[in-house]
Amino acid sequence: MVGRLAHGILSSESQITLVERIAAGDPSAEEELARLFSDSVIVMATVRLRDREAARDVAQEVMIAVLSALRAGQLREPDRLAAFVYGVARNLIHRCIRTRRLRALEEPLAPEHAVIDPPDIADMRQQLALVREALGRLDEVDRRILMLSFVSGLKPGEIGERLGCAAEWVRTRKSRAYRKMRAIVDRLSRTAPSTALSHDES
Amino acid sequence: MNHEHVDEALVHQYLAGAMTEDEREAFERRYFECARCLDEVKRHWAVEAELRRAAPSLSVTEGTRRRRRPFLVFLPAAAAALAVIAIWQVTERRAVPDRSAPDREASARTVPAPVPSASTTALQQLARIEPPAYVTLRTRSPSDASDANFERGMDAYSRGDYQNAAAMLRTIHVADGGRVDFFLGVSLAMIGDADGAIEALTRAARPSSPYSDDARVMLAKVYLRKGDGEAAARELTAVAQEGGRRAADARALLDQIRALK
Repeated sequence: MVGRLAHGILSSESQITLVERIAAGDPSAEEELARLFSDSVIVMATVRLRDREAARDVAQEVMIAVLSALRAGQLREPDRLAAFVYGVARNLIHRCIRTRRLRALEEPLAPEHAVIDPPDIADMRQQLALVREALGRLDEVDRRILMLSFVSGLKPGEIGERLGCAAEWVRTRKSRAYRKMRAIVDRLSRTAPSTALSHDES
Repeated sequence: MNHEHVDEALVHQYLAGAMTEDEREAFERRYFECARCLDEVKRHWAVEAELRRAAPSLSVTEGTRRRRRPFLVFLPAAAAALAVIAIWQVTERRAVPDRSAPDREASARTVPAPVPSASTTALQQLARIEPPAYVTLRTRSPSDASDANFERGMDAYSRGDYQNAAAMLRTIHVADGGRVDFFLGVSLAMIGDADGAIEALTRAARPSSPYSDDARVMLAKVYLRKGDGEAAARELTAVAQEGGRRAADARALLDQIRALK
């Protein structure tokens, strides 16, 4: 297992070790690499491509390209593995965007509707289930304020102006609602079969 | 880094694709190289997705089901879209500063039904109007006739009945910071009254209005549908330069419009 710093950041030493293990042909190191980066690459690709299927395909290409480079010992700065992975991801995503330009243009633009559905990965599925359950336990006013903030992207002052309430009241209420929701999600995740919100910080 | 605190506005912008590439990379450096922060982004995404899914039960717009409708209602077929491109390109090439809207509409009507091109489709997408969600807390009873009419109008709006929403909102003549004009403008746009929509949205776009940026972005879309690319670009440029909440959207829309020219 790759070592991490206190908050889940991959340390330089861990990155070097992982690169060396992959170069030496260690299959478990390759699995580790995929486990560490595939979700974040899928998120990056989904946000940029606005297409969950294409994002999965690109993420797979990214992993193959990264592994090929690492197996061949082509990474000059092994302590910057994460930056390398994300750099390869951006390049391949941009290439995909160029070849699918019209499709990217067809996506809606307004921010209240432009957030694409999350990628269909196990972690997101569990997050969605937990959040759905937690939101159902909030009262309607809390849910509405969260919706104006999260879905419509409004600031407390703007929500206040629209609802005829003071910005400070909205800020407090929203903060309390989000904390409440987080607490419910955390509580539920502790009792879920596999915890979506646990962090690998070994 | 404080892992309990995620800049929600920033995450929303990222997920909405409303960032420049440089901003995206900075965001990813901050949030993606840390497992906890990435989890926070995913949780935020889950919250947005679930809230959006739950929107109909919260008496707001009905999400995806209704988002596709406006195009069918508003756009007078592909002819107008072709005219948008043709007229705008001519306008740009000749640098003619003023062309009257009625002339453009007449031109649009005389254009034979074209085979939609890729750029026509893309422009249609750019000009698509998505009625923003309306949410009210309704913590008190309507205090007067204007309040009551506004509630009735917005009930119709939330049901997707823009004809009745516009009729009700039109009866209100009180200064309320642009709220009535904004939703009246959107409703008129949805029923195809572009001139009425422009008039109402222009009032809602006053600098002092909390709806100013939203109204100007909406105005830009109505102008696009009328074939007035210059006016659309003018509104978007103003929003982008002011650097408010919709600045990134305005820049993105401007870039995409320019890419089609």
